[in-house]
Amino acid sequence: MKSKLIQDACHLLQGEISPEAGIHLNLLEDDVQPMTDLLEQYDLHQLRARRLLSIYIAIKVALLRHSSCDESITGETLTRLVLDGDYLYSMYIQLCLEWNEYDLITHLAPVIKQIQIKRMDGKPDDDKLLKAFELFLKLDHSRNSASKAI
Amino acid sequence: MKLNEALDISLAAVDREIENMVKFDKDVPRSSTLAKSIVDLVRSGGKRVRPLMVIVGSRFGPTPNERKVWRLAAAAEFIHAASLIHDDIIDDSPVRRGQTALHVKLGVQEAIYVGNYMSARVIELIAAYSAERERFVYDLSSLATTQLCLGEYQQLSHLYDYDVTAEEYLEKSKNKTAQLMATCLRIGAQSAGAKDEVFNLLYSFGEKLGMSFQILDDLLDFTQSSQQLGKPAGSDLRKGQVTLPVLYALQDSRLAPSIRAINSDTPSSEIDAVIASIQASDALIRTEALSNQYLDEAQAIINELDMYPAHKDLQALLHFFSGRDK
Repeated sequence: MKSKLIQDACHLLQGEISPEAGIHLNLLEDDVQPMTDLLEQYDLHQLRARRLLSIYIAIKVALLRHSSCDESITGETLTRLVLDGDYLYSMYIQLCLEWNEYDLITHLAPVIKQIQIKRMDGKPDDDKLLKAFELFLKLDHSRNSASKAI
Repeated sequence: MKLNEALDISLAAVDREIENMVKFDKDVPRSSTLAKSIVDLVRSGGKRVRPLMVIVGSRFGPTPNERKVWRLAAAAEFIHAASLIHDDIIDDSPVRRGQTALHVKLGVQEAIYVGNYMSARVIELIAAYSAERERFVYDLSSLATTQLCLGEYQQLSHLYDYDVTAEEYLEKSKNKTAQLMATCLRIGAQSAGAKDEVFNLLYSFGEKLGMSFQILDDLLDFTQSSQQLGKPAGSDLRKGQVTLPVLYALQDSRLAPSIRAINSDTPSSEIDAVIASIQASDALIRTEALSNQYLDEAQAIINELDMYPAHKDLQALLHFFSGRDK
């Protein structure tokens, strides 16, 4: 059974996705559980944890949609896979801006680019995404602890 | 005179700036397929309308920062080129600018990743150069392609839909084409510190040019020969896209039944006859009239901005958009 955090994050993201896109977030729990475990290690406000997980899910689903595209898939199925990935990559930017997660964009942008380069080389390294979130949370925690101490 | 000459902008310098987006990326070896594919794509040509629009926009502000403006101009072309790579996959188009399309050369997945790289590189550069948070937010949200994708979804959901309204067609055209053109003028102007009312007028001007451009593009699909188009005339309708000429033709009760009968299984010979009847109707004249109406509205905006010397550049853009072969 999916944890409440995953359910809430999916619900939040689904609400942000335009109905015209017709995207359904049919994720496997295994795809998001490592990120959920990571978030639970930090004392984050519930809303922020939900938002960060939503952003992670948007990128994760974009990666999954585009990795499903190959020569055997054609027509509307291919069109939707390409568009869903494109739309969700742009959604992650919109969500970060909407939720004031500017440092997260700066942190993730080179990583998402590097993931595309690795995939292009035929040496996918999608785990970089989770590692990037891990480092971001660590830095964010240090920053917040330092500012509290001051 | 070519558009870039009328605007006194070196196209070679624009192309160099675009190529530098990948050449100066430390994560991409210059000899890699990725770098070569992008450089080849840039060198295959293009009028660079969007980068030129960014530069023109910057001429309306008091403090143009040339470095930033040119980088934004290159970013705009990167976003556009990335969308074309993915469009070619979606449309199953084997040719782009007279050359084999990227997905045919590299494979579908690889071409998707080239497009993704280009979009991601733009985000990375904007996030890195923007020290001012307000500008960072503005540029990123402007160049995010959510609306562009929505335009594609709208097109997809209305395939062979003969009840689509003109408003829905115009909304789709705005999302797919006009919004990015409008954004180019506005981000250029804003980066140079133009006043709010000026960059809003420039946005509106770009939107009207973009609408006229898309409508004319849909018209050309009916008026140009298959040789000029590089595909059969009426190919949009053959693929189920109900564009403005078709919407106008549907208002003719003699034509409507044969148009509505077209679906994905209709033989090409039957569609040929319907296309000929649309070509002979007044639908094409009405389509051109709406395209011209948008240009007239764009002209009115130029008149509002005539105290700025750069209004002449808007005139050059308008002249370019109105001068496309019909």
